[in-house]
Amino acid sequence: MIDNILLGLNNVLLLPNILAILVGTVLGLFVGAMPGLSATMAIALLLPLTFGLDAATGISMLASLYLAAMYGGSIAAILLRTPGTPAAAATIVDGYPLAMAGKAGKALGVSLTSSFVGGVISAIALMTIAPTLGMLVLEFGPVELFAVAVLGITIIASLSQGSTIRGLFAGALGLLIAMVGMDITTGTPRFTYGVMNLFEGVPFTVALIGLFSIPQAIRLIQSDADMGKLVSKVSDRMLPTWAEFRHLLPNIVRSSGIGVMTGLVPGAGGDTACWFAYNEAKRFSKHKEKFGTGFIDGIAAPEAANNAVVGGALVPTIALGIPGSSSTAVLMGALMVHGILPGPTLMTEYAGVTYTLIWAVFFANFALLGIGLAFTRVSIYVTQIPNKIIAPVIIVLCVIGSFAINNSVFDVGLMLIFGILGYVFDRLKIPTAPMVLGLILGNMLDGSLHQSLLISDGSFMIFLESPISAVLLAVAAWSIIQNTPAGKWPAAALRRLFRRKQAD
Amino acid sequence: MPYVLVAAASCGLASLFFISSLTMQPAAYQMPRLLVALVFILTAAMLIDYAVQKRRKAAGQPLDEVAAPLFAPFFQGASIPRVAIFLGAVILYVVLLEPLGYFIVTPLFLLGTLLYLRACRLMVAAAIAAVAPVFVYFIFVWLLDLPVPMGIME
Repeated sequence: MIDNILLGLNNVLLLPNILAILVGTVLGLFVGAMPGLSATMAIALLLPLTFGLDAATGISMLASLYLAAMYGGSIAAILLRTPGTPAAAATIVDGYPLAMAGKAGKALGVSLTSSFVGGVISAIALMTIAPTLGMLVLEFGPVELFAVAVLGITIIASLSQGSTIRGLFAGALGLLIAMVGMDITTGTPRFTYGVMNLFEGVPFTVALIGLFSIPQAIRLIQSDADMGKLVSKVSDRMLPTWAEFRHLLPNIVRSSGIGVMTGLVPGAGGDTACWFAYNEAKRFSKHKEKFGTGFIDGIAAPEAANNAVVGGALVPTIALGIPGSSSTAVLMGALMVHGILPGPTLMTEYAGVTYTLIWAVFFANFALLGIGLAFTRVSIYVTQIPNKIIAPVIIVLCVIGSFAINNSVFDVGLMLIFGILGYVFDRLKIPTAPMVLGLILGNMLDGSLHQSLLISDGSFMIFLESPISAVLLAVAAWSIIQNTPAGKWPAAALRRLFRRKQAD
Repeated sequence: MPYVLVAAASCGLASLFFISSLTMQPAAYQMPRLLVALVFILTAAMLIDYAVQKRRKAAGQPLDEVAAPLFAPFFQGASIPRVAIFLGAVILYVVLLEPLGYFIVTPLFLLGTLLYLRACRLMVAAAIAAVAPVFVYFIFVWLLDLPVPMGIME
């Protein structure tokens, strides 16, 4: 393991990778600062660009973008009272009042410093937890891999925002669409209907560009609700004083812990962690009454937490192949584009790429601190670019990006179909992240099911005979049942019993 | 209604896949058939949930935040003509991309949509329409050696 860690460190310090981290950080900062643009969309849009790069370089760029977008989201939250990303929603509560009080620099500086500490803590967590979990996964065979894939889809479907049934439906539809193409076991073309372009299956990169970017572009133009230009300049000092930093540190460390833990849970991302950390910071604070009035503790907590989510969310992605968030689902897609299958082989066969990614997350925090200090004032102008200018440019990037994948206009059309589907799902509050995961995990699920049934002579009992698989499938079943009326009934009955006992 | 249409469309897709799987070997149809069954079950569950919420709404009971969007107008808060025209422009852009090529269609698409959306003044729109395609071309082709469709400029 030490050899691999050193290999990753050696790789990340190569000039192309350092440049990729810097470019990813700048892009992430600007994308995060633009209200309405998400990190997931930016990663999906930039994914085709990584084709022209080495796998480790491309993934490092995307991971840095993801991390920097988390901080970038706070710029719009603080200056415009509109979160640049959903993960910055809680930052508005104290960030905006502080900016309105003429201390926008201080608000942004606290956000940047907290993001930096949160990010570093999460990178350390990633570096220690992921390899340990990865070693465990090395023991997994097809039976356990099938259970892991099932667990991934059920958990992300049940925890993603909205109804569990709709999440599961989207996941199942994604899996079904992933069945299109040549069956790897029998060589039979499945559901291709004579279309040659479908013989290799539906390219999930094309699908995820469409699902994440087209709806975003339409959302930007569908109404006239452009941002009001509320705070348009930063004139005060950015970095907090040493005394302020010392005061904030326990809060930042606690919030980072919350962020890492939230990130570890598939489906729960920065948007959950920021509110969780904000509430805990308020609960622990001696000055609860100051929260909501421009209190720096109220900025530090959500910002440390949302950056700490990045490392946490990458742990199950790298070790198990279960993405912790929609952004990591797209990052997982980026790994697969380069022929790297998430799961047991990541820590062995592709250790070079994996450990480079882990180190990239670590160093991206330092890049973020430096670039954040240098470019935050510039990025204020980015927040003022009208949405109606950004939307057509996003479309151009979607079209050219999806064309570049296979040099095919057919893929562009496919991207557009997925884009329209994504918009319809968005309007009906059907989550698209489980669908993407279904598209990504479909072939792994199919292959592992087939191998498992070959081992067991066609008996499905094999999934219950392996203790690991049985436990994982039980957790998957529990994650669904607890969201149904049948699952909610025992909890409600317990609550009633508890209340009755209290009343007695 | 759009919710029911999505359910019907997914059932249609699942049925089509099931019929196609009838001619496949067992190893090839095992997983797809499982998924077809799953899609049917979940679609049914979605529709039952929809019916229950609809009855609750009719009875004047409050809906939770997960169910409420199901009964909101599909284009709530959105300008339907603007979405339709923008999507139409995107479709036209994709259709004309291969025959005419990137360097003709992209500036036209950008200029047309920016002016239609009244995103900026004519000169700014023209500048964006001229510079953005070159910038994207520079990144994709010169820097990363990725293809863009050149059409009649091939």
